[in-house]
Amino acid sequence: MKKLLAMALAVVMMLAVCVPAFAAEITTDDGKGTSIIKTSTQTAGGEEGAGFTVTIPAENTIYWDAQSTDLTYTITSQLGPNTGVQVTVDDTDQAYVMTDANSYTLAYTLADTVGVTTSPVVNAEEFTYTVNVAQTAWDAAIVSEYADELTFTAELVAI
Amino acid sequence: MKKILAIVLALVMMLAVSVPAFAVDIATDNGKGESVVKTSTQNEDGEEAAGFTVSIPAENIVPWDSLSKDFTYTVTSQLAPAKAVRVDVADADDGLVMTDTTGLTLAYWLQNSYAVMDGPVVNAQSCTFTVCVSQDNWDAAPVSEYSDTLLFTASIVDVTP
Repeated sequence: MKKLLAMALAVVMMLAVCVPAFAAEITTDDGKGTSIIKTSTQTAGGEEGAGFTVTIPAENTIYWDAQSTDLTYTITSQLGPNTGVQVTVDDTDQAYVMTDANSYTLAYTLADTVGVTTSPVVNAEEFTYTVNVAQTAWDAAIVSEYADELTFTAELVAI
Repeated sequence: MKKILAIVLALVMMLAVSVPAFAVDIATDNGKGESVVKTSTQNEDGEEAAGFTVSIPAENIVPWDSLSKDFTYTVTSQLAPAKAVRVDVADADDGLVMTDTTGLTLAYWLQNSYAVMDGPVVNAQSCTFTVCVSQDNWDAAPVSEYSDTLLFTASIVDVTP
């Protein structure tokens, strides 16, 4: 019985494979037939067409005594309908403190930390985030090169 | 007079009906006669033998970012001399725009949109038409499934034998 079922299943599967690609036939003069053309979201190589690139600066220079410094990153995307890219900038350790080689510190804050593209398809759209250092912090700081690491997180969101 | 005419007419009609199937009689030793064999364009059931079939694909998938994608259909025909099947492919609504379910659009155009077969008799002759989308249009399009309906029209045309 199992063999019979297996054979029947095999035949059904073979028939399923043999479903003709040609679904319509025209056999009369001035006869008409319709066919659908449809794009795939994959390329001919099988790769997904949707994707994005967030380009972030390797290094952001903040000039001494600058209380507010605008820095930029860019987004290029080609996504599905109603889908955008959201980028969030944050201090990697969330301490919001830059340090120098001697472990001196300089506190800062971030503003405009979230950027969202307004369309699924954008080409090098520029976004700005801001590093703020209070004047009192500058005034109290030993002059040195302070640095900290920021983390950029990109995600797809509905727009 | 009328009666005579009616009789004559009736005789003529009867003679016309009784035209013999055998047009030549051979009545002498080693006598010869000629007879013609001739095919009909109809089969024994009275159906016209001439005909054709154009097989078109139900769906033609264009990969994302493909600037041109070839698709095929096949034609089988057996027609009268100097006749052939011509197939025209066109956008059913002439808009040449594919749309997705959200109403987004993707413009395209067709190449090799018609073909005339090689002759009256072809067996599964494969024909190609091409769907083209410009790189600019691909680049500007949100990634989605865009589609449109193509209309195939088959007709019989005169060709040089």
